[in-house]
Amino acid sequence: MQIKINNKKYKTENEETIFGVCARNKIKIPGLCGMKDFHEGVCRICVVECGGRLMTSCNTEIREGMEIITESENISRARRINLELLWADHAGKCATCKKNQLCELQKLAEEYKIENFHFVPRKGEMTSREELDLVRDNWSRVVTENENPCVSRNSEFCVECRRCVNICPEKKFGFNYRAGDVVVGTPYEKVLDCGFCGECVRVCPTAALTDQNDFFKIIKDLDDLRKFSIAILDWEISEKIFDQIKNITAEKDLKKILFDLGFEKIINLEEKDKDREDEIIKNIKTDYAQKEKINPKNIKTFFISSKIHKKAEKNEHLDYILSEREAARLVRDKEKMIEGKIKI
Amino acid sequence: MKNEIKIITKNWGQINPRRIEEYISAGGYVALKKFIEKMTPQSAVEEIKISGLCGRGGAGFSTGVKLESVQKEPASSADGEKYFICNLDESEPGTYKDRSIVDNDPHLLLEGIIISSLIIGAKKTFIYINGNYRKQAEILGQAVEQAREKKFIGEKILNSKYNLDIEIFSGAGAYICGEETALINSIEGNRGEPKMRPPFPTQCGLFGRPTAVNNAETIANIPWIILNGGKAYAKIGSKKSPGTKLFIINGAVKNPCVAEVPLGVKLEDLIEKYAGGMQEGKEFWFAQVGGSSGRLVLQKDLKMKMEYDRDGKIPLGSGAILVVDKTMDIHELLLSWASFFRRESCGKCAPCREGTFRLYEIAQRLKDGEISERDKTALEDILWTLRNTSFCPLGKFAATAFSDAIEKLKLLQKYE
Amino acid sequence: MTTEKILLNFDPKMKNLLPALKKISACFGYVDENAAQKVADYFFVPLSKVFETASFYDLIKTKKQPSLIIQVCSGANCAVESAYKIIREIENHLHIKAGDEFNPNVKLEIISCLGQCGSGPVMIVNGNVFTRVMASNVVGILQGYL
Repeated sequence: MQIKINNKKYKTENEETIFGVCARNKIKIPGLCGMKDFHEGVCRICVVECGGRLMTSCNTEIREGMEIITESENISRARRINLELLWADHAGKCATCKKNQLCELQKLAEEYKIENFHFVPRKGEMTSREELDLVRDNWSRVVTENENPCVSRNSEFCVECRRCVNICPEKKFGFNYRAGDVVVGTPYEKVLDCGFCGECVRVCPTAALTDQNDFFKIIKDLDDLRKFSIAILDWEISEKIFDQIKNITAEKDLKKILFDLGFEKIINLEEKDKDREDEIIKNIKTDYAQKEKINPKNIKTFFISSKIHKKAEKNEHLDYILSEREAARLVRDKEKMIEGKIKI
Repeated sequence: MKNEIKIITKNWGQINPRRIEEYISAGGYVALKKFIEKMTPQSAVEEIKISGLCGRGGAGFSTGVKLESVQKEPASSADGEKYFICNLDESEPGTYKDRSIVDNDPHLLLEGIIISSLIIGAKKTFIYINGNYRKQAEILGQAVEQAREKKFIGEKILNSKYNLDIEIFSGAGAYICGEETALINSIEGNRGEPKMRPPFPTQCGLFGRPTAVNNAETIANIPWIILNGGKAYAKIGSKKSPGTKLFIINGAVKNPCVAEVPLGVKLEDLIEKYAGGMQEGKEFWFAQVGGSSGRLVLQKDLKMKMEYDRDGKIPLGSGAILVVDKTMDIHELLLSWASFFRRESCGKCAPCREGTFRLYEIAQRLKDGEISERDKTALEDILWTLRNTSFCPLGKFAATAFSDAIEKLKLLQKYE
Repeated sequence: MTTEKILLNFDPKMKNLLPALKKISACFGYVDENAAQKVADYFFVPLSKVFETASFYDLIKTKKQPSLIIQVCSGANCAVESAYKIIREIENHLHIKAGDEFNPNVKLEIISCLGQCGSGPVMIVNGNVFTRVMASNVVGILQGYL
């Protein structure tokens, strides 16, 4: 089949979506709800124009002779309003958010210049009843949970994209309730209890699902000059880290980045170590205590790995487990500190 | 009124709806016999196509074409199963025509359902009834049992090769389930959210099988068409959409009623002749046609014809007509529309979930008379995105009445 | 009646999930976690799926309900017949706000159309339907339930 996108001809295959063809040809279309091979068509941000009508590109299949436009006044209006509607329902506390600069909604909001909440009344404009309603509303709908060892959940940040619902291999999440009361979460607001594969945290576009961590302890230990901090890098983790921090730092040397963060020693696990990582980690503290002549109590081990279920298995040999996202957070905060934006 | 053509309401008040015998002696189930003995599914669908009958649920899609596409769908799935679903979810505010059909003549509906199911080759049919219609579900259940005893349903219907089983599926309270893909989701045990189309239910519907979903009122026309032929039906009412329609007229009129009237009737006549005109001392302001998702009609447009017309300005929707007089506080009505959609949006897509929620907030501020300049642009933006980007028609409907109120009633003028 | 006994009336086919949940909710007032887990096991679906479906529909409750539930239709037809006056009357009389879930004993819900539009405004108290309600007789109706 042949179609036209922005007045240029493209060859397409059967059953391809508009989004698919555009992605293949490097035509950028924004979106929030879709994942690599799965599109729900619910965020309505990936809209394009075809025959004067707006349609979502992610789940519309190509038909012969389609003429598609990917940027127009109507398209950007639709994207802006829908983003703004999501933004208005979002916590919007970017400066202190775990996902600051790592958030897909924030990135889109910046791109489409969404600066204020024009759907929500500002403080001075609110009558007391409305203020009460707003507070009440926010309270009744927000679910936060930090009781499981690995995944921190806060529905205040959720944009109802359903990625976690779709990706969870154990089907722990549901799209619950109806209309404005929709909450993505566990049934009966139960504490999340699963294998903690971390896929949901990986796909979450915002800070609704994040890694559970001891962030302040981590920073304290890293900055403590008496502590000897050892980073143990899981096999293939460096690519994942760079994927996270590509927009944050230009530095390409992971070793340098980690040393800057305050790590004293870096150990790389290799493919052959895959089945014996626990054994390797177990010996690290005693090894370095002898080698460097340090009190083992002053050695801190940080396992940087996607296996966030290990967060539940911390022991005297392993102090912290950081995912690639948390490593990126450390890098982000460091960069900000250098810029003088935040002071710790 | 003389010479009135009655297709759906002919037995209303004349027979006991609880007794199949009375329906039969009034000429019931003759159409089913005629279909089985003298017609083929193909010739029957041809008659329905000729009749010009179109969906009475709101969309106005040709019933014949829909049935034919399911009929022609190859039985490609493992069991060759196809389904017919009678949509009796009817939860459009101000609409109770399908309920009235069941209350007064359930067997007429059932006969239509049986014929339609056999036409498409379905062996299993669901009647999806509004969860709040408990009494009606019971009436229908009884009717199905009676029809089963008379061998109109079951194995070898009237000793023919046809088999059909009918199951009554009672909904659980969600407006969106009147939308056919949401309705299918609901029977499948899912959240009643609309599904992406294509594939259309006629190809891939209930449990992935070809499925025809038709509104109850539409189906109730089928026995008449089978008996009297498509040509006779096409002569009734308007050329664009032949036949009669149940109109539900309510509000500030003398005699609120459900009336069967040929399509093409003027709105003015519906109010004056059928509903007895305005109540004493009340002055007409506007009428809302088609339930909460319907558009507003002002005095100057009262002569418009009521018909299903793709290019028509005023979609007929479910046929509900709400007459509003000048004493009405429009802000309460706005709040009613907004709170309805804020509650009934399924929550699937962002513009509808968030948009209807913000719309409700603005409606509240409007009612308090505290609308700001920014609210006005917000209102415009929300209505625009609902119309243009929402996943299913509900989002578009949510904007209709509100937009009309702003445009035609000059709602925001006093804030300028 | 137990959840198990209710479930035995249904084949474990997906088309029966919604009817089963409705039945359980009607029987016990709501579907609690325990019952939902049994439904999930019986139909062989994840618990999240059962809850997703159950929490979507008005006629299935997933939380324990107060002993007094007042529902008022605010559909356009009822609104035209002053449904909002009735809502305000109830709010003032019982000192609650429509939609609030803070009071464990009583809840005022605004609901969608029940198809009784010919005889609005419609008010339902603990399942009993009252039609053509007027603001002046709201208190009288409630008296019977307090």
